[in-house]
Amino acid sequence: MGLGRSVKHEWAMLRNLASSLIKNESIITTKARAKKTQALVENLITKAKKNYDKSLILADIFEPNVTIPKLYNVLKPRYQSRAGGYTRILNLEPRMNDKAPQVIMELVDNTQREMKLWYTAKIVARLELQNIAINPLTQKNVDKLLHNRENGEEKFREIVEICKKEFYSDPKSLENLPRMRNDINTFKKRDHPYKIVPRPVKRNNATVSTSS
Amino acid sequence: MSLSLNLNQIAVRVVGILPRIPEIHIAIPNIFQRRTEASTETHDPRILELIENLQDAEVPPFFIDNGILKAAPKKKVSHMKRRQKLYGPGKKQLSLLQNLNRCPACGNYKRSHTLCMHCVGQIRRHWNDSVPQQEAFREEFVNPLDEKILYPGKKELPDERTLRKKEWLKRRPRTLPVE
Ligand SMILES: [Zn+2]
Repeated sequence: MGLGRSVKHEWAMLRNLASSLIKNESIITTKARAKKTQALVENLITKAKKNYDKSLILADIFEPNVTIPKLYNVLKPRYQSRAGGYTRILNLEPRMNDKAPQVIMELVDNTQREMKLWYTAKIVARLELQNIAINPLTQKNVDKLLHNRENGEEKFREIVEICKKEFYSDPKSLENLPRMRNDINTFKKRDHPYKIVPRPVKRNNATVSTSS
Repeated sequence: MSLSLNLNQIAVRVVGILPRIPEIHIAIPNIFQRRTEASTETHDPRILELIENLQDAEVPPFFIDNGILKAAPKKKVSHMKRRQKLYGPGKKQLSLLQNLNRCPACGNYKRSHTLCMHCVGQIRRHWNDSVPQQEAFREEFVNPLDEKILYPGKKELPDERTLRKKEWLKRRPRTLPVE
């Protein structure tokens, strides 16, 4: 029993969260629930990657007509070059009502509704509009986000253009220039010269042996 | 007790002619109770007096614990002392936030290791708006009179408008820009 409910209730809730994450690519929940669903979702994706029989997955998921085809047709090819780590958790401010720690949970490399990608795109858009060079930390984040994605560069540029148009059309939003020490977001830290060494991409020769 | 008194009164009124039968009280001694002289000595003299009175009296007195007080605070807690206890300790007071950063996307303050809620809200609003939404079904009428008769014009009251706008909801205020 966890999360203040009976075993059956908890299990049903986790299944609900997992299936809505697979359906919508990103959800907002509390931190404890996100941590528990993470394990379930990762397990489901590895099962899909290993070509498990679909009847074995049926027990762990709701709305099988939508979620199971998505698992096998969309997520399986997307995560072929990854060995785990298909989900990401981003902290938010505590909830207004009861101060519960909130969290964004999302599938990695989904591009459509990926908050980390959009946030960094927003940062890049702002820096470009202010004519400031991109700082090494942001550059590192961009490289990390794009190096495992198909047509990552093009999609990122598209999102940056959308951000410029949508969020910075008002000149007031660009008045605030960074005045941090060493041009980094924290106040007291020193800027470390990050050395970026991207991992080797093994997308071309990634063919997981299937036993069916 | 009051009920019995009332009954007595009624009985007196109804059968006032008959002679009243006197009430009989018989005190039955408790066999299991041990009565030693040593135990009586330790008691408070007021209690002994009370016991005697109780045995003699036909009707028990109204104030049973005459002159004996139970545990209670001696004095009212003053305004100052109460406020010192409730609001004095540093644990219960608001503390300043030390974990603050500058949001790189908008330049305002944000908590470290968290996303800026303003930027997140902007992005999420853009996502929700970009999804093509189905238009609500609307009936088309050949004769406009039919529509007037079927759906007579409904006026929106000011309090209904505020409810629709959700002005009663508490919104998260935006953080200050970093100097
Ligand atoms: Zn921001």
